[in-house]
Amino acid sequence: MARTSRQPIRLVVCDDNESVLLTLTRALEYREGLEIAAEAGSVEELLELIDEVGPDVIVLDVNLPGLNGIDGVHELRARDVRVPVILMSADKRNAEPAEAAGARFFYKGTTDLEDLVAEIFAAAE
Amino acid sequence: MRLTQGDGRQLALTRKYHDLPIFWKILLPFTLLMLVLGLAGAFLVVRDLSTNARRSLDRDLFAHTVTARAAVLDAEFSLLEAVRFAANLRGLPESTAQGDRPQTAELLSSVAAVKQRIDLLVVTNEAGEGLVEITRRGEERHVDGGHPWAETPFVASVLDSGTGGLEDKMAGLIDAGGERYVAMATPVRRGEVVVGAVLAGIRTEDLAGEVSGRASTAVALYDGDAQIVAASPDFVNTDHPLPQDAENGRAVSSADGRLSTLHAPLELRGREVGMIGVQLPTDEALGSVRGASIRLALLLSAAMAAVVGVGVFLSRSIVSRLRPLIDTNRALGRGEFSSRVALQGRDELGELAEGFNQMAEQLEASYKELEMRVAERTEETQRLYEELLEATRSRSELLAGITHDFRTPVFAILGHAKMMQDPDFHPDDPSWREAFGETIYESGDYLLQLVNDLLDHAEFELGHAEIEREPMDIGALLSHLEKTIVPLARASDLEAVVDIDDDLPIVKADEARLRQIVLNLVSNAIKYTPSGGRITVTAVPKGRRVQVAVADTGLGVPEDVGERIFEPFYRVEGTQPQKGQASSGLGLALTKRLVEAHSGRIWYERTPDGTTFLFTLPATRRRKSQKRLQTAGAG
Repeated sequence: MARTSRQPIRLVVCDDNESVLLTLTRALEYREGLEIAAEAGSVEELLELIDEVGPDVIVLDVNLPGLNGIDGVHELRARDVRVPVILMSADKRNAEPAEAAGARFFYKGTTDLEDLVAEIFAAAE
Repeated sequence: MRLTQGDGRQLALTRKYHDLPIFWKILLPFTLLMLVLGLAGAFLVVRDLSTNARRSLDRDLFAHTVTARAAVLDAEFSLLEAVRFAANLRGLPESTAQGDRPQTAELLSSVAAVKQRIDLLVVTNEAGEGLVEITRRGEERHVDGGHPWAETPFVASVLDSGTGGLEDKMAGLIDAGGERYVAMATPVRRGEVVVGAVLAGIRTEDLAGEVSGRASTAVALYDGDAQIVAASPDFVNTDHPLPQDAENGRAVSSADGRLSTLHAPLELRGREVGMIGVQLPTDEALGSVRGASIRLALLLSAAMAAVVGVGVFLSRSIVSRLRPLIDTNRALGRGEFSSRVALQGRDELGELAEGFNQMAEQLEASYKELEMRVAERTEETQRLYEELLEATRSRSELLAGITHDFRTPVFAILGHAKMMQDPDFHPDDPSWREAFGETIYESGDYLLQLVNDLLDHAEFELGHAEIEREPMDIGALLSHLEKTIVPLARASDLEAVVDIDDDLPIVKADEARLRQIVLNLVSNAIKYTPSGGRITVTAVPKGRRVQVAVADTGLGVPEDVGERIFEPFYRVEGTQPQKGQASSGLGLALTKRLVEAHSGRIWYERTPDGTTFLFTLPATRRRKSQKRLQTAGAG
């Protein structure tokens, strides 16, 4: 309740696939209470901008070229970035390692993004 | 074919014989044959010998009988002489007629003195009463008289002969004073009148001894009732005296077979008065047969023992040489293929062993070869299995790649569609409709491209890809494609150059496929070349080939990628198609397949600026002039 319409949740969305990234940002952008603070195509890119952007929640794809999403979580924690992370994957087997890394998990095999939105709000709490 | 019971038995016997060990197989017939032949031979020999011995015995008996009868004949003659001498003695008829006993005794004594062989001399009166009777035993003489001799049949006959005119000398066996005699009688005549009779006798006991001595054998004399009257001391009564035996002249044997007796009629003055039996021991004659039989039996036994011994030796020598063959055979059976038989001799067994060894060698060689082949096949199978595993793995990877690549555009299309359906969707930017449309279109387009590539790929995989190769001018095709390539590159802010050698040979190719090859390589170059870069397409003749190169100034390919770049859905780690570009991940794999279907080769070279993909196609013939064929230009 602290951040209602006046203080939207600031997101960084990270996915290597351009059309997926575009679809995600467009779908989250117009939701009330959410704001896309930045986009990234890779973990490396994310790490570069994280300090500057200072988001409330990070939405991160697992399957990325170079460092993958789970590596990314470890990397963020190593840099003492405590921002909640939602790891997305079309492979449900990634749920367990994602949660083990201290992140939430979203199954990307659906286009119903209500669950993702719910996860974002829950993470921001 | 039906077997009779006899056949069955024969079969069973044959089988039993087959089951016998070789040792017995050889020995048994040898022994049986030897036994049968030996026994048959011995039987024949012994039978011949005993027949001969029996015949010789019969001959001997016959000869002795002849001698014995001659001796009896001698005695008869002595009796005849004695009675004739006495009857004709001067004064005797008178003294007899007068019954002058002293005178008659004197006269008769003179006769007895002359006829030493005669044991009994009698003179009777005409009534048959004994007038004088002189009995001699050794040197002693006993004179007697008064016996009623007329009771003696042949004496009575002699006394009657004067009236009847019957034979005047008659003989027979008589009893007198407890003794038995062979006696002869004749009438005493005075003138024509019979006044008495003279009787002379030889003691049968003495006669038997004499005959026995003459015939050198045991002799017995029988009376008319077949009772022994006298016998030599060595004669054994065998209780066989039957008149018919004397008739048929056949020898009879004693119950124990040790004596043989031949009986013959005892005749005196042509009258049969009894029998004479001549006896010989059979031992002498048959003893030799027995000895011969024993010798024969010994010889036969020795021969059999020798034959059996030889048989045993032969069987052993064969069996002992078969043993290594059997042992080696078993060893081979156990899989000891290096086993061999030690060769002995050059006979059939030696040949067998040699043949066996050759067979074993062949077997060993075959087995080794088989093992080698099995090893080879196993290796081959292992290799195929690994290839299969690899194929399965790459198929799974392909499937994973397809799934991943399909999901992305679908995600974008469905995601946008969902947003548009949301009644709360009020984007600030009024141009959202155009932007959404573009994204959906691009995603759909990409999906289509993906489906097309996948179908092409599947066609190759299934071997259904149709490549219709015809002679064509590749230069013409490339210069035609320049019109497509240049704007395509320009859309991505790239410069494109197409440089075609004027002297390209004709190639045999499927025009649509060749166009696909070139455009795939060009679009691949465009996707991975940043803005401001350059794409260069060149075509030059290379010997009997045409070489086409598509060079870019792009991101380049890491050194360790190698041929994997041509695998379906392979993506170089860390590289991304440039913004607005999507790759199906099948383009290069499909391109390689297409080139190879044209008997060409495709590869890439890393250049300082980026990457160059090259492919060659075999030429059919050199073009003779600069004049371009119109086949390609039309497409």
